[in-house]
Amino acid sequence: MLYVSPAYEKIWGMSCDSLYRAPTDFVEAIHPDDKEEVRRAVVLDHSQGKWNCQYRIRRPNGNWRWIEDQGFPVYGSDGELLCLTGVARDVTPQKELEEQLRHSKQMLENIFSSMHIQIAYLDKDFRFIRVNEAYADTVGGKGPDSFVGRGHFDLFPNAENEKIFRRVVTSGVAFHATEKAFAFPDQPQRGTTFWDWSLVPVKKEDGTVYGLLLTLVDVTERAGNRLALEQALAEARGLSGELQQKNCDLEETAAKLRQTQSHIIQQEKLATIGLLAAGVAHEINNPLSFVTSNLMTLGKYCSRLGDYVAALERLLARQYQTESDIGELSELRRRFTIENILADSGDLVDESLEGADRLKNIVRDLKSFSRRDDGQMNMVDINGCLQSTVNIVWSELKYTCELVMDLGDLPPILCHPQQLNQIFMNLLINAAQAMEVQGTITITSRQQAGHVEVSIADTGCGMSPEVAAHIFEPFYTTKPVGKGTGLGLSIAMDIVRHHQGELRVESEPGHGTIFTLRLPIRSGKQ
Amino acid sequence: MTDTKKCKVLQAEVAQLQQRLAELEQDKHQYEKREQRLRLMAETIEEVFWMSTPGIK
Repeated sequence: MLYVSPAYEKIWGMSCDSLYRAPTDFVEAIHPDDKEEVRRAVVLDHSQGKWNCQYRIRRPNGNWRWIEDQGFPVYGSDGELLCLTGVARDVTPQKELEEQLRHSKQMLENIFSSMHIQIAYLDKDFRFIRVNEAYADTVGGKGPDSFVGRGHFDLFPNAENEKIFRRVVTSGVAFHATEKAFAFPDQPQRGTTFWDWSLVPVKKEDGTVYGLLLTLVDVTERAGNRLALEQALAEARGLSGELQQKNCDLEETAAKLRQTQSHIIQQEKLATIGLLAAGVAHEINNPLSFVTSNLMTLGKYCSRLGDYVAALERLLARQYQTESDIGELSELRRRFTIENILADSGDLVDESLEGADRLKNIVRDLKSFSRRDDGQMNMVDINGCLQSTVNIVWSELKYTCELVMDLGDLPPILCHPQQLNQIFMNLLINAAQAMEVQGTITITSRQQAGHVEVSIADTGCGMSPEVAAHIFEPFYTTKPVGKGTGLGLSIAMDIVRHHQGELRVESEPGHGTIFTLRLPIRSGKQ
Repeated sequence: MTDTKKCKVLQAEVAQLQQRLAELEQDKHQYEKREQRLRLMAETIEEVFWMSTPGIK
């Protein structure tokens, strides 16, 4: 060793003097795997001029360093090799960087090759620089190399996508798309495919785009599943809506059934009561007939008996002239109150006959009120219905109400009389129950504009608008428990609707209530 | 050749040699300066400058 500069001490970790003393230390420090490389370079290559080699050295502290050695032979003017000289430098940092770079490159290579997603690297003019196996397999190429140098849009022409590619190159901003549809022109059998894709610009330090990294994920199956799921969901929603509608219908039907059932029960009750009343009326009617007949006969008998007594007294007066006889007869007549008997018997019989006649009317009304509905409408006088109903419920009204009946001339109308009687009875009983003190119920009937209008007004407690708004709902009642079912007015409204009429209420708390029933005047032919 | 002539030739050769020597001295000085510069440079740089006889260093 002729000369070595001081940097040797820093790089080799040994003094220059030690090298001068033992030049072989230099060779000893070289990594065993690199010695042959160094030997070949120094001994053999110098014959061809300058050489360049890299090798590892082990420093005394055990660290390894990478050295790059460039040398050349120095010849004398006579061509004799005088010496070898050169420059050696520590390239460990570069080597480490190279190693890291190699690892990174290898890692990227592995990722690039093993990824299942499709990756293509293109230049700024959209020519393929490289694609991975997945890309080549998917798009139907003959291996990754078959794409290199070819234009993306020469293989897959698509004006819309080309615009996107150009925009990414000019703007430098990445583009991402989800489930983008694409049809391969050379593979029509694949139909429409769907892709998630990203196009990321690869830039220089100054921001200039010089390449594009295209990543694709085939989501055709996912998109198909999603579409199927959406369709299934839509169907499920439809079914759910249908189910809800059916539930609503069912609930409505159930409510109607409950209401109808209640109405039927109520009507059956009324029908049973009517039947009983009709039976009772029939049973009363027979004895009443013979009571009336007998009373009439008895009246005749009493009259004839009075005539006979008067004639007998006249004959006795002619036969017995004594004072005592006359006095005894007078005493007998006084004691047996013959005068009163003869005077009262006619009145008693008349009064009894009048009572019987009233009973007859009550029986008639009962029979009329409780007559079974045969399902057919009949031409009926509404005033008669009102009168009949009043007679029936009078016992309920007479203690709390004065009744005023203002009945106009009405034509007969086509209706179910028993159902209307039921309405009138409900309204009259409600009116009576609304009286907290003695009051008046006024029943008015009129013919008006093709309708029969009946109003039943009371001077009772009235009701608030909130209560009035609910009174026609089934089971709504303001009466104490056990006093009302809450069905009377609901049934009344049903009957009125069935007759194509209307029932309205006007009321004010403390000022009574007016129910007005309007029914169309229809003949039997309509 | 006479001695005088020989003497003159020798003197001329001596003069030439002296001239040559002076030139060599000059060159040596120049080389020493260059070597000095090179050494300074070699000692300044981070790389190892080396020089060895042929064969492994």
